[in-house]
Amino acid sequence: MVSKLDEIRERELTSGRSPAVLTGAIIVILVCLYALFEAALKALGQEPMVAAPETWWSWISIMPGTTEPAALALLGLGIGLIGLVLLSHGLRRGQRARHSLACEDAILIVDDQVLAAGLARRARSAAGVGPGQALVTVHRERVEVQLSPTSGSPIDPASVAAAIEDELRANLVEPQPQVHIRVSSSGVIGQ
Amino acid sequence: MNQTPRLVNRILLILIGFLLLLCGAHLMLTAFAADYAQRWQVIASGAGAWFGNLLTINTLPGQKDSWVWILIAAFLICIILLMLWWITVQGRGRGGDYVSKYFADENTPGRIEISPNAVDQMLRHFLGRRSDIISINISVWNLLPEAGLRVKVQPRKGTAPGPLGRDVARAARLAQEALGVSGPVLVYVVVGTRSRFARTERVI
Repeated sequence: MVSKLDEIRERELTSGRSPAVLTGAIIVILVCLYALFEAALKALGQEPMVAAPETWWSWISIMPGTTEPAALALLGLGIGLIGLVLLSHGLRRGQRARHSLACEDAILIVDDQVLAAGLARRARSAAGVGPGQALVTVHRERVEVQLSPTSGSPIDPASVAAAIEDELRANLVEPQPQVHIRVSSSGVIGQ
Repeated sequence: MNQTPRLVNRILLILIGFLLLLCGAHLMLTAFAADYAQRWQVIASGAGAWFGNLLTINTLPGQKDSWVWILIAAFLICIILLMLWWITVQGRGRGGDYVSKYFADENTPGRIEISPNAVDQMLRHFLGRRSDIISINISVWNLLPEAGLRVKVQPRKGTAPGPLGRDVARAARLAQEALGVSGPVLVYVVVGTRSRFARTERVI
């Protein structure tokens, strides 16, 4: 049962690669569909649609032949890039911008933006600044807080960091991300 | 909670990506590396001669073209069908009723079906009136041995997601207890367009 839950969690936290699958499958289908037409026409002894398989093969086998090398290289670059993108989609983990929080009753998955909005609200109240003066970005193992103090009232980064860590503990983010606080040197006019 | 065949996805993507990469590298090399192009022409003419031979052996007397083309066409049809299957199995696994059980009672045997709407209503009842939730959305997913429940919660901007998510999970657990089921529950706290643009605080 535990491994089953872990699998569900992993499915929520990583991408299933469906868009890449759609792209790859459509490329293969289009190429095969064209080849199918030519092969079928050939099998039925009909005239080719664009070029007969022999014509294609003679063009491929004497490459580069009379084809412009730059055009050939450009085509190769295009095909190679598509291949590289699909390959990297297949090999990389595909982490989504989500976190898993500890929870007894269920699997709890949270969008990073929701987490960031909650932390920003806490950072605002701890620093005593208005809306728009605290910017929180949540990464995999790191939380970055960017504060713009109101002119004339300095901010104590340590107390904001403590508040953020307390909020992370209250949310039970596991493992707890590291908190980085940056207070910009120039103040803004408070709201 | 869907049944996307992730391993198949990965393997086929790696295969297709690798083949396309190989194809692209080959085109670029033939364009610029003269001795590579020369070697390719030697190999290709050998392969072409072999295939031409294969065609002539397998041509029925009196026919213009070989029946190998029919085999090739059939093979291509198989690949196309396989690709279509591959596209259709993405994101599958959404279930209908949350509970669908047959009870063979002596007096009144019958099937009990409980739709996701009922679970939705129960969840709203257990959660009560909450100002920090904008919307709740429930979907049921076919899992073995018991159906999975996916609760999508959209909170108001700035809400701490941990306590909210745990409250929703507890409510879902209560609903499950009332229904007598124990499948896996997933609570997913999402950011949506409504919570992105809505005001942070609101007078209730």
